[in-house]
Amino acid sequence: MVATQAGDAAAYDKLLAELLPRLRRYIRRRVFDVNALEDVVQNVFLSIHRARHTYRAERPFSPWLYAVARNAVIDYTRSRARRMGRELSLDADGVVEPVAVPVDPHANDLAPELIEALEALPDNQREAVTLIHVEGLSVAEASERAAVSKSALKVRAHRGYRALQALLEDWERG
Amino acid sequence: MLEGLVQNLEPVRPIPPLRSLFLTLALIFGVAVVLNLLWVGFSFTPHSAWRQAPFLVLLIGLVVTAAGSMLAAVSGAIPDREGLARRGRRTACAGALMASLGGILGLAGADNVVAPFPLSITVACAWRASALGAVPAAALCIYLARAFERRPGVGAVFACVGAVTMGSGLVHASCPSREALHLLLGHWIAPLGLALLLALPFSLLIRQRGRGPRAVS
Repeated sequence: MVATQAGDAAAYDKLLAELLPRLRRYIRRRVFDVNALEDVVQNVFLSIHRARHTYRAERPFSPWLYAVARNAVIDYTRSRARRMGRELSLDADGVVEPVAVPVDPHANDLAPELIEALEALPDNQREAVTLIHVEGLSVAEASERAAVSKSALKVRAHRGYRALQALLEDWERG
Repeated sequence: MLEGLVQNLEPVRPIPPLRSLFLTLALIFGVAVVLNLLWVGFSFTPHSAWRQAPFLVLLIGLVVTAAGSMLAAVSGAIPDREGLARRGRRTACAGALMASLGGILGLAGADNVVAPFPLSITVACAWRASALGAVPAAALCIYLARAFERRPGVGAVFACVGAVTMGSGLVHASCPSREALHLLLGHWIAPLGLALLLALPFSLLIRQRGRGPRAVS
């Protein structure tokens, strides 16, 4: 870490490679949403990069590292709680009625695995992913079709896309 | 992503240790006290006041609040010093309770708390406390902006409350007035309010300049 502070890129590369499995293990025990795991890992590395000047050589490295990781997990948990709160309030008001968009296998020549994965998504995520990624609508058009705000639609599409990715990766691994 | 971080790597200067920051703060307070004495003249609290419990409880409360708040502010901005920050916050809360208790004890023991209330002296004491605390508060906030403050608002509040209550402690120890209401308002509540106001621009400063290392040029 001291070499990293001095600007040694090779030492930094080695350090980050060594930290990756440790941090993945640490975060996996605290973040249960598999779709968010890699996002949080990336945030931890960004925080390490931004906070690298706060490490002092006379102090042990591990407490510093895990404090940065813990803070990134706390930030993620807070922002997730805020987002969930906003989404729940929209749904609870009955403003948003998820439209069940059927997945037409012939219309866009989708692979059967992709259709199956799309069917496995929750209604509102499937709707968002289908409108944006399958039908190719703009966010504005898609949000109008789904009768939700643009930001809510983007969140749903992002989550749906990540969930889809995870499902397809799982199937690929068998 | 990791490759991107490695490519963006620049040499950085580690932040100074906490003890050098506290030495700097002590020096700034020393200079501020000398300037303050030259500005308002040498006036001291009468000896009899030092034997009164409310006066002493308020003084100790102010000093404890200041020490706890400053510790909470600076250690909260360093990732592996969060335990110290928690202890600082607890100490600051205990000090604030103590200062309030001192003020209330003074009011309870006073014969007449309303009639001779010296408003102009109260305002002057609150301003003096803020003036004494402003430069150390700025020094603390610059440190927070250089470190890794995740909650700029909270950091700025602790920094400003710490610095201004330390200034208020110095004012309290040299104020000739012994009016109970003046001590509570002018040495504790009004400086606290001014410290919170001072925290607003400083939190913006930390937000704008913070969360990033300065490259060594």
